[in-house]
Amino acid sequence: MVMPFNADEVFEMAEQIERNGARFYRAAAKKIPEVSQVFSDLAAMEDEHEKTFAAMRSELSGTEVVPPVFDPDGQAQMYLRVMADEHVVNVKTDPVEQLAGKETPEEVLKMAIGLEKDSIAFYVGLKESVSSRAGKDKVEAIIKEEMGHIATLSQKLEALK
Amino acid sequence: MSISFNAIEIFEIAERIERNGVKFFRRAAEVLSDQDLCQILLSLAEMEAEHEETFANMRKQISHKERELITFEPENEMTLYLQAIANGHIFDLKKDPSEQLTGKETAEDILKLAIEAEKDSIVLYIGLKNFVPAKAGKNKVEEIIEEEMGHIVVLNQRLTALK
Repeated sequence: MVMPFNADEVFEMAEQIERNGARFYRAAAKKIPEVSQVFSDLAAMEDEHEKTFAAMRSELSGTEVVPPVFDPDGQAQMYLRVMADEHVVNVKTDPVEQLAGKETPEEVLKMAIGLEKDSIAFYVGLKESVSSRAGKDKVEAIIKEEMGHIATLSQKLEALK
Repeated sequence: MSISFNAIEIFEIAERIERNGVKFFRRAAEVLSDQDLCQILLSLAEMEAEHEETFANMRKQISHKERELITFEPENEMTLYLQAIANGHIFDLKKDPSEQLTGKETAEDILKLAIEAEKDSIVLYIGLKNFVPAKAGKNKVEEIIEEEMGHIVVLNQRLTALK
């Protein structure tokens, strides 16, 4: 049996992912004038996601993240714990530090897509682990918005060709 | 914006991801000397081969009778996401991941590459799941997503055990 996450732990991680994303986009907006507006808009959206997760955390603080679905082997919980491992989604590393300043717009857009993919992979586990009452639909909505970000970044990449 | 992809293409990408996974795990099992780990990688290869077959069957079914059920609305964010995938920016499918292995990789290197590949497949299948109608096998896509999540768990356990 896997030790269940408590809500504080898991939402703090989600908030950190969003904070890292917003910081990355703001730094990238300064470095890459061609896509500065897009990056600034994405940063603002990540700020909103952070607020959503923070609100969910304060509502659920002190509780276990209870699997709403049949999860006899605790697989959703196990996945979430693994995703929180630094090998899988490393929230401790500030992605802004990856920007040396010499990257091409293409490289920065690809790095951004990588960060968005990581957040989707984490939130898929989060979604499985929170009940409908605790805001499963909010997590689902954020996943869709992150997919929308990938679409936007990809359109910009296409336009660079 | 006009849509320049169809459901069949998205399934083909899913099949390619699985095929690449099979090749990667089999090649990795040749490269590594830890027999226990090799067995795990070979069993993951087998599961990916089954996923490929599932996606291929779904694609065939869709091409015959379910195609009309799948519609893509332009400007819908899910459509744009799938368009991004079809454009090839999200997954570099042309590179054969097994060719990335020179034979000098450590078990740690291989496990990390494998975890990245599994994350990629989950990110694609979440998009795929959104457009597959229940009748055309949405639950099969969900099952595959759960299995890929399970693969990440297994791979990470091995990675932790190396320390």
